[in-house]
Amino acid sequence: MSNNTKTPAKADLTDIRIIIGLALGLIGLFLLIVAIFGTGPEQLAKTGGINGNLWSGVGLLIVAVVMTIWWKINPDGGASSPSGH
Amino acid sequence: MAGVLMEQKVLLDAQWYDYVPIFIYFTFVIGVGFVMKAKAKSSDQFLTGGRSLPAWVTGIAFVSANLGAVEIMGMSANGAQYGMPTFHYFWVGAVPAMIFLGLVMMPFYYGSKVRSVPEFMFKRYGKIAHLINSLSFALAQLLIAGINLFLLGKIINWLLGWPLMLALIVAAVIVFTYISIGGLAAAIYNEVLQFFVIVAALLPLTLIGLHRTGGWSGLKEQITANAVAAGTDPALQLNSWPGQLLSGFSSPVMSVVGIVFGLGFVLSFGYWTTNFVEVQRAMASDSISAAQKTPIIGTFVKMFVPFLVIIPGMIAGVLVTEVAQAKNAGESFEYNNAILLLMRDVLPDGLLGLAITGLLASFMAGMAANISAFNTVFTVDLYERYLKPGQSDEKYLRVGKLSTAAAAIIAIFTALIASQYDNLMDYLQQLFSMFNAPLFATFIVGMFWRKASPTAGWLGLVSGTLGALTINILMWAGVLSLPGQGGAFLAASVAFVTDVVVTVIVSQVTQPKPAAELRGFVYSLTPKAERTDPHLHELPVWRRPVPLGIAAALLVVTLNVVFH
Repeated sequence: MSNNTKTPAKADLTDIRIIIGLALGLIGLFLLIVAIFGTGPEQLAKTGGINGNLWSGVGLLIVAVVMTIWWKINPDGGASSPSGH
Repeated sequence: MAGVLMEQKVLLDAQWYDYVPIFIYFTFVIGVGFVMKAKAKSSDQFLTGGRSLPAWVTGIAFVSANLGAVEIMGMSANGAQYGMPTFHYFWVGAVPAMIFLGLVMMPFYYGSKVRSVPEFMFKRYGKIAHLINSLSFALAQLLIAGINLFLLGKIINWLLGWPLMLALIVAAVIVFTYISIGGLAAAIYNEVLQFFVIVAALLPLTLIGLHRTGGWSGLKEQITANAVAAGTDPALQLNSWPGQLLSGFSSPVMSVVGIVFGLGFVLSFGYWTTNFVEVQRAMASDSISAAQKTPIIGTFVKMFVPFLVIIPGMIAGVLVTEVAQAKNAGESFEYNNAILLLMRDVLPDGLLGLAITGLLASFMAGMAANISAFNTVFTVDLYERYLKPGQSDEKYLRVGKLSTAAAAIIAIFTALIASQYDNLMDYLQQLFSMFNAPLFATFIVGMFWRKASPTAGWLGLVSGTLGALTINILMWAGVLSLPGQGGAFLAASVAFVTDVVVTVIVSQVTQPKPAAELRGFVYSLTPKAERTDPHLHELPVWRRPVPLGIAAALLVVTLNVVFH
């Protein structure tokens, strides 16, 4: 429908998926570091025994990896016209 | 009102490293502004995002733009206080209207190539209706941006101990920076990023909270025990239907009718289908079918937001000492703080920092959505249309950026106005009922009835708004008394009916616009090719708007059955 020429199908850094992947990946790494060095009995009492930082960090890294892979293998992901034009 | 938290310095026991995710997030937020700079070179790109985004991006942004302070703090407060009936704000109160917007109204908004909802009003009904729409919208955006900014400032104040004024200014400067550099596309990108950060913040809160209460059944048992001890009926909190606590009607039948027609029809259709903050996200997508899918994909996201917002509120109602005590004793309490207190009690350092990041992200993106909609309406509908038509594109791009700055500054002052109201939800609903229900009536009549005339358009709007105002004045004066949201439902219904009746009557005696001018704006005068996507048949069935809409409807019915 739109007559705008879209950017050619190539993974570039202006894609939201790589931005999400990088941001969540960094935050996930941060949580893992806190989980390794900062998990004391006081923190575990708050969560009722779950290592919240560890699991959340792992979850964020998984989302980050999925976003990055999607961006890599399908640069045009989700656009209306698969050809890019 | 903020006293409770300030005295206890709730969030100040955060460790230094809790600031790390905040720093990461805001580096990306500003970075997005610069990354999108290349895509905001003309006024059209700046204000519409170049109509280039895929539907899943605009769909998430559609929900995210609405996921501001009021949704997170206000809805978790409602969850803590009233429990499951609050789900209706997300299900009945949003999903049907979003599907309707996508399937019925979006082809006109997107297909007619207008840049804003008020511009559609101009083309369909002419000058007076357009002025009413654009001025009231612009004013409402400044107010709501102020509310979001105020809550953001309050959080920064508690967290970092910054003076409120400094927090307001810093937040306003950040929003101004990325919108003025990257335009609407930057705002939308940040809304999507914000959404992921909010989920990352609230999902662990919900899961850990449920773990602490002994799961969903444990939570229900504790709510039941507390309600029985306090002498109230636990079923009112643990069933979403008939939802008397939400509607304010004591009769179950009246309550269901009130929720379905009041919230589900007049209030929510008015809000979701004509609110340019939302529709603007869809207008930035890359085709008619993507624009249609924007709110429909949004419904799938929207349906699951209450699990991340209302359930933590309900958990806070039993797990957080202050909230549980106030609730059991029936004392007045600042329930808006419930979710913050839960974060304090159940999140370890690290996740606490991420949770604070999520809140800051949410409040800031809410405000940014208001400002990016405001700058478009100001530039396209006020400046270009009336003040200085026929100028160069560079000039309008500059006005777009200047109005972004002006809105950020005005929001600082409206933030101070917003601080005067302690029940934000009631206040906003009253505002929306006055502006939105008549707008929906006028739009829907105009889209499907070619004889609706320009005079009828603005007279309908004015009388509908006056109808809502009358009900609100009667309520404020104490002449009418309806508890809960009953008043808001009534005001919106009166506004809708008055608008339709006046529009129909006035159209009988005034001249409609010539048919040629209504092409693209009225159903019967718009060729099918202009309101459907020529590439629709190339998409697989599950990526077409209608099947997606049906799936969304089935899913929301299922959720209502499961969590009745």
